[in-house]
Amino acid sequence: MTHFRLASERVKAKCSAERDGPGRPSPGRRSSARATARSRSRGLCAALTRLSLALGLCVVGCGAPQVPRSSLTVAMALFPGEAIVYRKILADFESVSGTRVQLVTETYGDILHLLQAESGAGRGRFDLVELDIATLGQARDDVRELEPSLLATERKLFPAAAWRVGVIANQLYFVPHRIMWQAMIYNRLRVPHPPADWEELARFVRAHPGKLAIKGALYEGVLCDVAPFVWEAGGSVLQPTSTDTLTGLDFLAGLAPGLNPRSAVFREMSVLEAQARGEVWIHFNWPFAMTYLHDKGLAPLVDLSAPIPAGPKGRATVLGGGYLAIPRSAPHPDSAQLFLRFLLTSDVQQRLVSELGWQNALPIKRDAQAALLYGGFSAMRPYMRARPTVPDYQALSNRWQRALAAILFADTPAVVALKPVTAWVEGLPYESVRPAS
Amino acid sequence: MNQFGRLLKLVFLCVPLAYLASQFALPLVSGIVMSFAAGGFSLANYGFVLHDPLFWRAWANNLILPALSLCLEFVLGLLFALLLSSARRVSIVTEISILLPFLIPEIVFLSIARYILLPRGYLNGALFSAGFGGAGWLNPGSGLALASVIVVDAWHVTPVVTLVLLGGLQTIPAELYEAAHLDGAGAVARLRHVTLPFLKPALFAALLLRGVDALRIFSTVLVLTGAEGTPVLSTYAYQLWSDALEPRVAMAASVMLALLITLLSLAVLVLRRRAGARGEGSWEYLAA
Amino acid sequence: MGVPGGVSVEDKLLAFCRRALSALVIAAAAIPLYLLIKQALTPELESFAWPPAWLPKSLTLTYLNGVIATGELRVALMLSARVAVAAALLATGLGTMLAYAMARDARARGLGLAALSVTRLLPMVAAAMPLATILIRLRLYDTASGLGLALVHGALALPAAAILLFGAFVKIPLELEHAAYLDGASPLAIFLRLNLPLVRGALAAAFVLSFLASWDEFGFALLLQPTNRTLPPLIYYYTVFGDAGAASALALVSAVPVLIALIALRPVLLHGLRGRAR
Repeated sequence: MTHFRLASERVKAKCSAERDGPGRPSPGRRSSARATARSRSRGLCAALTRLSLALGLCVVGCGAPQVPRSSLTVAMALFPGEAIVYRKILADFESVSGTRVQLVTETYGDILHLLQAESGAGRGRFDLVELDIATLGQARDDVRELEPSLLATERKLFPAAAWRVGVIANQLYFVPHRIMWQAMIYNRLRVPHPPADWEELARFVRAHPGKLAIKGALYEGVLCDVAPFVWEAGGSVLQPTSTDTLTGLDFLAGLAPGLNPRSAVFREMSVLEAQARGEVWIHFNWPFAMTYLHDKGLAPLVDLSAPIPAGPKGRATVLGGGYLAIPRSAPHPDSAQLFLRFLLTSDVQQRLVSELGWQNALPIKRDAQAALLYGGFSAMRPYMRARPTVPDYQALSNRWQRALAAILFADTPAVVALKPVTAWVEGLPYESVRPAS
Repeated sequence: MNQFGRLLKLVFLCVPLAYLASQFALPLVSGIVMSFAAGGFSLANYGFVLHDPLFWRAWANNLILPALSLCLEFVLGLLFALLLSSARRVSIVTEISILLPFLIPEIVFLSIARYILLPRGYLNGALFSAGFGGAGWLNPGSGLALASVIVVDAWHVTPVVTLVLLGGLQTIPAELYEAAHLDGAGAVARLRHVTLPFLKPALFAALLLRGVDALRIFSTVLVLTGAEGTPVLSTYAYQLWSDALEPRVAMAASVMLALLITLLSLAVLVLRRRAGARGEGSWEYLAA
Repeated sequence: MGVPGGVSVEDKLLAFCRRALSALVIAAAAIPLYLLIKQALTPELESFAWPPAWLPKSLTLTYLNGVIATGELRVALMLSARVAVAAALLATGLGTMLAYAMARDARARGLGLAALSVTRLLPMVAAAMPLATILIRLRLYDTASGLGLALVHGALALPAAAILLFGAFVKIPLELEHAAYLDGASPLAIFLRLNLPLVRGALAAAFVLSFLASWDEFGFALLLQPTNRTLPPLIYYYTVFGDAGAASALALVSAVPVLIALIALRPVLLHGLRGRAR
């Protein structure tokens, strides 16, 4: 039934399931003007970096004589607008390495499908693929182990939590390409003091019923909203009925009667629309929420970002984004490694941040306006956590989603609703439950 | 006719039917096969569906929604058809207005309907300006959301019912009305004793035509309330397919919907035959 | 009704009801159309305000320009048009063949009607999901050309086109065909030279209706073209993604051909719609 499984997976990506739609404003559009100004001042510095990189590549290239002046085929989940900017970065790599790069843009779901199809055939076209973070466990068998040296030299570019996701059983398989995480979006006119902890959040919901929303539709987004509360209580997605997990879920279930009534159908963009219309005053979302609100003329005037309220065991937010991997069936794996090294330099990373507007690796250097807009996201940076990279994460997530719908919108006690999740987790092999750190 | 003529007709019949089969029968069969597959032959996909509370909500909605929506459409459709046929002159504006909600692309109509019904949409805005409180027209799981879907669906498809009934009305000889009028029958009596009996076949045709479409309802629900808000079987299957990435379970759900539609249509046709109507043309109603 | 003579109270009441109904019908059609145009041409914040503005305060072309500048409109428009033309050609062509066979042969008629009826029973999801898996294997899924979608749209529009043309073919007297046959014309020539010219009107109606059916179709397009989108799924995404301005601008563009067809071809549509399904 391989064909069939693949069919279904072509449709959508995971947590940022809506990112392949047209409505999500491309962050690149807004920041491109700023980027041109900056790129001039960076010219000399960049030239030096490129020179040194070219030398480095020559050295490495000599070590791999079987792939001289080869070509490289890369599949990424980029918007048309993003792809235009990204091609410029690729052109720089082409000029320093002499490798021709072909960029194919697909949705995350399609890329995973292509990867599995090529791996199954044992022969492939793609040298490098971008995968949604939630599907890494699923893709692991179809990608190559990466040189551990990548991890050793470039560790400082990303927070440890972001690197850890790509390591399975002490082997590096995936490197972060773009990472993002959630923060709280709030209406600063209606909520002058955004709730800083659970108690204040509960007080807000009591005072303003219907004004807090979560993305409660039956899709990955609901887990992205709920998992931070589980983590902030000290719980874990893989320990569904531990006391700490239940503490987090009970807190949310206590808020449920005061949630916005449309929470059961909200998704990333529809909840954002409700925020823009003033129907919702507080919700949790990804950085592109601020871009959307800014483009509508509502941020920073009306809406701003803030940290997710802290729980009894501190703060947490969910890590999302795309990771890069080299397929097992890649025709030019060595060129792909070179490209990864090129990408994992602070110069290129800075370009991804400033030209594409990705909330990426480096401590974000931005102008005052951006610092204001994304303040909540910057504050949450140290607290990001990844969802478990178990082999069939989708099955785990589906069970969680249905359990959460029952807990939050049908008054089912958490212990009862979570039975299918518990049963599924108990069926996992021991090593999957405790991923290597 | 000669052999060549017969061959031509055979080709003319078989090529289109083969094409239809390749687009509908083949997928249906492969969908049925896949719905029974879960690592070998298995009923697991159906088991999942039958144990899912959301499925039963979808099932109930899939019966309630079409029933109420059909009632509303037929009352409105009959009114509009009578209006069109009885008025001495129907203005072009009225005629176009009757057709318009159905003819503008469905998604355009639904998109605007959503903007009207949102909690902070145009309807609640108008109510607010008039000094009333608004209502949660689209609140998930509420009876009001169900009613909203029904009204929007009727708003959208009443033109079809109107046209079919209009066709029926035009077959009624004018002399009958004149005779009834001379006998002193009022408007209501004329409707009861002349119009409705003559309209029966057209009513039946419209019922089958619209009934099948109403059971397949998908986009209205998806756009207005979202797949989780007022689940019906089509949106339930779509959610399993596109969000849960459980294609085989989704196929099981869609096979059950196909079964429901087939059984209900057969039941209507059998009832019609029992009622003593001409049995022969019954398929025509569906095709028309 | 409407018979001249004594005007009873009942008839007066009836006249009033007629006027009220007319007003309701016009409002039900005009309000959505008005809001669509208003949202496409006024700043989003006017629609997002509370209460939302029913009357425009200022006008803007931002959203129309926006969907044009990103190229999304052009791509979706071209794809929609390509798919609709291909589907209309398929439906009209094959529908003509089926209708002719049905009109000239009683057994073909029974079989054809049964097949067309059964087609209408099938829910979209039950066909589209397995079709997606089949199209993937044929490399026709989600293509930029939209061929896979055009094929299924053609099949969707075929029943209505066939019924419409069947109605036209049965009106042609058989004696004409016999006369031509006796003159030595081949069956194919009889079909092409005698029958086809006589059903020109129905052919045009079938083509237009099939084109519109494909132009409007949402469900199959959503499932079979997830990234290379035709206009309806694109409008859907913009709508549920909270971009009222862009959604309305696209919706306005996609409603234009339909409005033109409605005004220009009103008699044809009034006739043909009876055979058209959602």
